[in-house]
Amino acid sequence: MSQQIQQELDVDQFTLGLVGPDQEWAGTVADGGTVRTHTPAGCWGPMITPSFRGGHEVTRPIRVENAEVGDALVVRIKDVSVTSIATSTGSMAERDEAFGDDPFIDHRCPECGTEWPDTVVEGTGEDAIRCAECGANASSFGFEYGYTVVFDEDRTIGLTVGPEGANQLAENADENMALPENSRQHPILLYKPDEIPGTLGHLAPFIGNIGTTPAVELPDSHNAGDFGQFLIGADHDWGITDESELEARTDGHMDSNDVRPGATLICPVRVDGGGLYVGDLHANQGDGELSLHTTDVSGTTELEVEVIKDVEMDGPLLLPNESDLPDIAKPYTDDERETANALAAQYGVDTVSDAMPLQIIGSGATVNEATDNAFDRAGSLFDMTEGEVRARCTFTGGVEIARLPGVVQLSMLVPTEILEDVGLASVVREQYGL
Amino acid sequence: MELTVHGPLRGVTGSKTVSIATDDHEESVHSVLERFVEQYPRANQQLFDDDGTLRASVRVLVDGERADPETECRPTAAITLIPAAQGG
Ligand SMILES: [Zn+2]
Ligand SMILES: [Zn+2]
Repeated sequence: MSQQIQQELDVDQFTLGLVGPDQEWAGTVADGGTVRTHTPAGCWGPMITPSFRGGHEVTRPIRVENAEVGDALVVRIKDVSVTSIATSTGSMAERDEAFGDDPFIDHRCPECGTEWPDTVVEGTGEDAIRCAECGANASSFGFEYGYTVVFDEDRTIGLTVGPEGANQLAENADENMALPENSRQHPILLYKPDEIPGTLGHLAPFIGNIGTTPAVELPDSHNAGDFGQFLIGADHDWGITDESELEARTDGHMDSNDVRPGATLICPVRVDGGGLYVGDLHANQGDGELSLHTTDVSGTTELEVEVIKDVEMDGPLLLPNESDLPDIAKPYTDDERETANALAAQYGVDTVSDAMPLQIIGSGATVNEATDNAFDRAGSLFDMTEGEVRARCTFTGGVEIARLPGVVQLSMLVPTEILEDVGLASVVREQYGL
Repeated sequence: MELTVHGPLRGVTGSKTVSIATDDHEESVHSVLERFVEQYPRANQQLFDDDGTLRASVRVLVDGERADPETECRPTAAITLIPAAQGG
């Protein structure tokens, strides 16, 4: 891999379900440069492909010029486009014999016992993934309740299909899933589930897993405080003995539907070069991702990156589109400021502090723990007590669920003075045109 | 007997550690889990399938050691419980 710094970097290489410092780099992009990716679908494809060590197929890490441990990496999302013409999803059922400790991670053939077996596709349906050694169905997942969605050409809507449509889409599953050339997953369309046919859905594509490389190796899907819980006590290579080891996570797998074009993500740099990675695009998803899976699709992204030196962050921050902010967390208008100044004069308030919106991502075993995590992260970043964080988030923000069981976005109008101190004022100003 | 629970099970218990009443004799992990579910009925789904079989990815540690459903535990044992894997 060339070490040359590129102003525009196209990424077409993926990992086998892992993120961490030992993954091969995808290339190096300039500080201020642009990254373009075309990634294969997340969850379901890798989940049914036993050679994977995690639940997603994300890009190899991208080295960003100037990024060093302790910095922040700003990622401005310029575009997210769906390339799949259909996908299947729903809630999952694990297949008992096809894994050791975790059906997402330590796959093994139920018949011959080969670990992470190579597999071939025979026909379509939930028994189509066969061990290359012995021919047994080696996939560790089936559907508990599944559906297949086909998209229109402009990817504005999705329509669920019945058995006939699902069959038709399964016949050319690779092509319909638009899997990039270097992808190693089997397409989930092969499973052809067909529940709730005739349901029309609005599409609003976003990135489900995007972030910086953690300092320790993790299965990509488990790089979050909630899914990371399943690593506790596991015997496989990524098992942890104590929950505190999850502090090494970077929460890339945040599944917030606000991580869409127009939004800006600010990620903590934990390895030199940052190691930005991207994957698990979703065609749409309501807050919470209630089936725990959604419309996983292949798709392209365009991202602009910029390094901010020395920002003490325990986790990622999000600057969503203004329309995605809670109403009371939106930037102040000039009229509001003027009215506030009049009140200040009347009641002897010295200054009306200016403030700008920001969201702190928190994750944990449950939404309550995720919220506590966001309080901790906000408190340490802004040097505020939990009482002050709670007060400001009550009066000028709120908490929203990104994904259940445990990823939240905590909104706050943060005093501009504090944002200046921590080095984030200019990126927030630029985001909201302030 | 003290149980430390992980993952979405905490949404059911409301806390990371819970106590369940113990008899004076040893009992199997399976029976401890059944009594845990009696105390927290909404935990059932995360541990057992519709036929009442323990889900394959449920993980139990007794005094820090991996245990099977048949493993016997002392009334004073510390149990760690990780529910069936979910999400992706
Ligand atoms: Zn996904
Ligand atoms: Zn086999």
